[in-house]
Amino acid sequence: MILNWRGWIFGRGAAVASDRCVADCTALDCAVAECSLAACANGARATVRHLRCPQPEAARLRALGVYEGASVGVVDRRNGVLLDVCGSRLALDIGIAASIVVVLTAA
Amino acid sequence: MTALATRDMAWRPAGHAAPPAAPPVVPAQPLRVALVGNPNCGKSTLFNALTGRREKVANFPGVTVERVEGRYEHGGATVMVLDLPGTYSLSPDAPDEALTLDVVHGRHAGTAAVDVFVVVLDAENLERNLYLATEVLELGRPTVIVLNRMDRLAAAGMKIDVFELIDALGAVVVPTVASTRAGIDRLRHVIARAPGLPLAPVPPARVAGAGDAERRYGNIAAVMRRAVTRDGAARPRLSDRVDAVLLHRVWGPVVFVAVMAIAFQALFTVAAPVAALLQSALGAVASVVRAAMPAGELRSLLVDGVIGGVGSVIVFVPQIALLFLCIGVLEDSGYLSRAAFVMDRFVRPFGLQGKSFIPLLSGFACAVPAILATRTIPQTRERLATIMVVPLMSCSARLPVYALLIAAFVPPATVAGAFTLQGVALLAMYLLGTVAALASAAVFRRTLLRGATRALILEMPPYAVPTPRVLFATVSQRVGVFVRRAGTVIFAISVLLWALGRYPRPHEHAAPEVQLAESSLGRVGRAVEPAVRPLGLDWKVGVAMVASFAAREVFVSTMATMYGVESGDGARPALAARLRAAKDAAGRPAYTIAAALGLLAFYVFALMCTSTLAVTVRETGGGWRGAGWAALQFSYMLALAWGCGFLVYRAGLALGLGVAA
Repeated sequence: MILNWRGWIFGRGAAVASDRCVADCTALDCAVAECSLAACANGARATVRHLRCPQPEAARLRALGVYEGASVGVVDRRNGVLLDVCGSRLALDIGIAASIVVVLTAA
Repeated sequence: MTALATRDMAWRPAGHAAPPAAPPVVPAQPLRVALVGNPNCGKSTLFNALTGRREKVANFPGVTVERVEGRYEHGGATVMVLDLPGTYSLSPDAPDEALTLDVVHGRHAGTAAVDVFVVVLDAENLERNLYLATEVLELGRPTVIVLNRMDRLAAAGMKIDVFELIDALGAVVVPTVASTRAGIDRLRHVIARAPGLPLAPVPPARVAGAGDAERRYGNIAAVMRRAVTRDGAARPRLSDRVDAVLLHRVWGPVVFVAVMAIAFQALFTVAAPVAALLQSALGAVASVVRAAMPAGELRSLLVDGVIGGVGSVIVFVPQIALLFLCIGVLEDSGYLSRAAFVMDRFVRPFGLQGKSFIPLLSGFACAVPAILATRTIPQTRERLATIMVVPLMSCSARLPVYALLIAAFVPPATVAGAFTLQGVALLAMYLLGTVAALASAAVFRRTLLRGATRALILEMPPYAVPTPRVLFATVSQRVGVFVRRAGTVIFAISVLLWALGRYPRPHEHAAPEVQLAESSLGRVGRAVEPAVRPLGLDWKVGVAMVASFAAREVFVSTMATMYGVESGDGARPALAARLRAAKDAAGRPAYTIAAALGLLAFYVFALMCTSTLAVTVRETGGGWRGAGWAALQFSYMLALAWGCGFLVYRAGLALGLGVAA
């Protein structure tokens, strides 16, 4: 955390492992490529495929509208991820966003 | 509003062509109604509208963490209303949600079974809110659906066909705008008849696999298709553009610190003239009493004990009201949740998460509701760590102590054009408490309360302009609590201190200084002096510190009482000026800047509030277990207070601040 101070300030550290997903999702076959929600760009819409987080968090996400098959929009991912879910705004820290596997759909 | 009222009057349950003609059920026992709904959907506003009470409402999830009960009369019958903590589903994730579930299932000790559930839906967030509504409907109990905040639909580009919603859900639906009381009479009418209405059908598919979110949301989508229409494509929201700044990784924290700095500066600059007026008024009252009564014990009791003691705390009401106003604006505007999100990455290294930040920020007002607010934190160890450190956040009771010492020992020099050194010093006290809270949390989370930190999942409420009526109600209620304390606890302690400082009297004509030193109070002070002498303080401050262990604002009234005793019946100069001018037996300044800074540090850390300790006992499990946590909380904070006070005093001496202000 301390060593990665640039990432901590500018938000580039947490999603390093998912950077390849960004490349995949922006490719032509993005409609079928799975990536983490943390890797999606601002303005993207995606369909949730899997929730790879502990059960309590998964249950909470489902109650809030982030369930397998739900369509979510990425409003802002510069500081954590701000989602458009069922018309309301849901803020997730980057760790839990990275555990949500999605497939990009048309914006 | 006319259209809403018309639709409201035309409600009907599924399968009925017209409202039932049956008279309302008038039970022998009061009808018990529970308000259930998502967090921040307007339950408490509806509760207040139904019952005429003034429970706290605000624009962030988790305002109500306890069961609140009220009542109203309708058609000759009494209706008991329970306002329950908000929950997103009937699968609890945090202690406040577990309470709701227990009441819903009739398992909560001390709460009778509920006759009618009123599920409150935020019309603007209908799809998400329907998740809980469908779960409650599947319980097969009398249920009324309230479609609240109907006035916001036009701005959101939404239309809801209430009749279609009634048919799709198979339940009674009442549209309301609780904040303006629109639809409340109709809701009371419907609640009175709800036990006699047909229950909503429960399809077998809903009962099997009740935890299947995908299936449930599939059913909700069908309901939405029937009942809701939207005006074209989704429009970009103004709130998203605001969030782009307020939630920004860099600008978000900058805005947060700027908001806090302006608020704390306002505590000094805006409230000071009002406080001065109040002080003048109290001085005038004291003069009137002096002129009207002959010199003697009773006059001394009234002027030095009551007016001097209680008045010295009451004079801070303008600053405290402004503090509550600032916090109220943050709560009602919707900014508090943003601040929690922005601060998540700052508190996470300390073993806390953004949800802990809301109780910590609420701790600036009072630690008691802040500790209750920790019920929204799902993980037990995170919650316990938050409870243990919340009292380090500088509450409103510390403000009189800070304000007195800063006004006495920090010069009002201008800093950076717009700020004064006194305002900066006040902000520094709050920051010191905050840093200490985070550091203590880190220690707890790495020792006694070790464990992984839960992820942050937080709903962002829509921005709203704070309502003056709601703000006034919030501020007046909180200030009322402070004034009541001044009128009871502080009054009693002031009178007791006056008596202890007055008796026994060595000689009738002894100098006030000698009288005080020989009194019971003086003896107590000399007994505790060895503990405060290393902090550069004298026995009078020692007395004030001992007296303020029950409630820390008593420090100010104690000092006022003691210096009032010294001043005799002459005109009373401002207490701050008296402290600056005070001399010890050798004729040197009694209080140096270094000692005052050390004393400030002591009050930043010390836990001097019996109410906080009591609520800590309750919220950490009660009984011996709770008492153990409260004892630990008191002990570590006292050690921290003395240690930091000593270090600050020593550092001040080394920096050449061992002089009078």
